[in-house]
This record gives sequence, structure tokens and C-alpha cells, in this order.
Amino acid sequence: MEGGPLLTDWWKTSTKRFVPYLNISARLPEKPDQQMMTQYGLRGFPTFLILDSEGQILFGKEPYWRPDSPENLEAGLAEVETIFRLKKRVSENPQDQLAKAHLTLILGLLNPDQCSVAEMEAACKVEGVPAEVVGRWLRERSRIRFLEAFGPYRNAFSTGAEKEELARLRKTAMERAFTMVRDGESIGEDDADFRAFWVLAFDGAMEAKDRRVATRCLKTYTDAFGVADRFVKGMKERLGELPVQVE
Amino acid sequence: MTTLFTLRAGRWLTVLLLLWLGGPQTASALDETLEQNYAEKLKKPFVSAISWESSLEKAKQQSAEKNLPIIAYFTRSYAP
Repeated sequence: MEGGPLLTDWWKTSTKRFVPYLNISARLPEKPDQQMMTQYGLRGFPTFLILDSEGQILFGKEPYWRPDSPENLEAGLAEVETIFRLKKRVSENPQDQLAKAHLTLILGLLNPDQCSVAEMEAACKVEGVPAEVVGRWLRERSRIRFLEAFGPYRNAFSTGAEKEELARLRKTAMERAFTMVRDGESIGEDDADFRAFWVLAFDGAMEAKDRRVATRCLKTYTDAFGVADRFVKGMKERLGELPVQVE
Repeated sequence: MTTLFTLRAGRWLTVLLLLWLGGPQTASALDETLEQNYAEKLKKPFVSAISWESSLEKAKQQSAEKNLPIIAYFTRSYAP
């Protein structure tokens, strides 16, 4: 980076779009900002982050980002420049409900586990908010909803909790996943818990004897992981034993 | 046999003495090397290519004044 991209004309001219901040870890405590790596929870070099004027991370930590080409720089800046435009609009006109709602959604999506669900839901209802941002929130909301029930089960499993406690937590997670699928909700295919979600939703549907939802779970699961997946055979057999519902 | 033992013990004593004498100097020499590395890092062309802020507080002030994001670059001078 230092001998290449950071010397190029595109890098130099782009600095009018951001404030460049250089942090050099020197193992000399008197040098500037030596604690920043730890403060931001960074472990590797080099690291690039995009921060707001309060020093909050807007982009770059996860996924890892490196502005090593004009395209990559543009991609990073594009992620955050909307925030700055919207902040300006709101500060110039605090009555601009659309800008406020859009900003609430974008900032909430940066820290979805800490945002106010009620505020996000209200922002979604404001007319004119981009459908893409609303869609991202709806997917995130589903993830949060599933994790509320699945997280305790996963933790109990990894810490070796009592069998009865595990069964109770698994039942809660199954019911949650099943209810979500029944109500038309699911989590994204790129989510790390995607497999767990559909297995639990299937088990929840079987428990509720809901053949329609169980069939949907099995189909989604098989489409994603293939017929040779280790769970598919068992799932098919169990579904076959479920009585056909009369509509 | 005794001579060999005396030689070995003498060698160890020398090593220990050198370590004891050289300890503080080594720490100071290390600091000096780190200072040199830091100074060399600052001389690299990428540093002078643009106007970097070296303090996050100042970068935050500028960011607020200009309504611009901060791009923070984290690098090190203590190792290549």
C-alpha cells in the first residue's frame, strides 16, 4: 500500500472527499494515539477504517476493507457518504422526516444489535425511504428475532448445559424459527445460522404437525445444501410419517 | 575434571555478568531503534504525499467542520 496505492494520483486527489488520519504503532508510548489499535479492537496491519466525526466506525472492520484501487476506495466512500449527506440535510432542516428516517435506518443497520427496533420500525413507515434500506432492515430484524431464541440455546450447548435445560431452550428456538417461517420470515442465505434456522424451523413444524411449513423448510434446506446433506434423509423420512392435512 | 568444571562455571559467570551489565543498555538501545524506525517511517513518501492528521481528535474536528468522513490508516513502525 505505502509504496503503491498511497502514492498514486487518484489517492492524492481523492483526499478532498475525506480527512486522512495516520496512526503509526511504534511501541513508544509518547507517540500519538498509541492506544487506538486496542480501542478499535484491531489486530492486524495494515488496517483502514472509515470513521465519522465522533470517531465511530462506519465501515472497514467487517468486512475488511483496503482502498488499494480507485474502485475499492469508491466502494468504501459510497457506503458512508450518504450518511454525511443525510446528516447535513437533517442539521439544515430538522423537520425533514424523510432524511431523518433514512439516517435512522442507515445508522441502525451499522449497529443492528444496539439499535432501537421501535425507531427502526417507525423509520420504515416514512414514505420515500429507499426500499433497499427497508429490505436490509427487514432481513436484519429477522436475524435479531431468530437470535433472541437461538442464542441462548447455542450458548447452553457450547457450555455443556444440563440435558433438560438444553431441551427447553431448543424447543424455544424451534418454535421461534417455525413461527417465523409460517409468518413468511426467514434469515439470509449468507447468514452463518442459516442451516440451524431451517433445521429448527423444520423440527418446530414437525412438532406443530404443520406439514405445509415442514415441506417448505425441507425444500429450502435441500435447495441450499443438496439432497446428499446429512440431515435431508432423516427429515424426509420424518415428513413422510406426518399425516397429510385436510385443508 | 576440576579444571573443566572451573572453566564451564567461569564461562557461565561471564555470560551472567554480561547480561546483567548489558540489560539496561539493551532496553535503551531498543528504544533508540524504535525511535529510528519511527523517524524512518515518517520519512516515507506516502506520508508526505498527502496531508495526514496524526491526532484522531484533530481529525474528528476537521471531519465535523467539513462534514467529511475520516479514513484512518493503521500501520506500524516497529516491524517491517
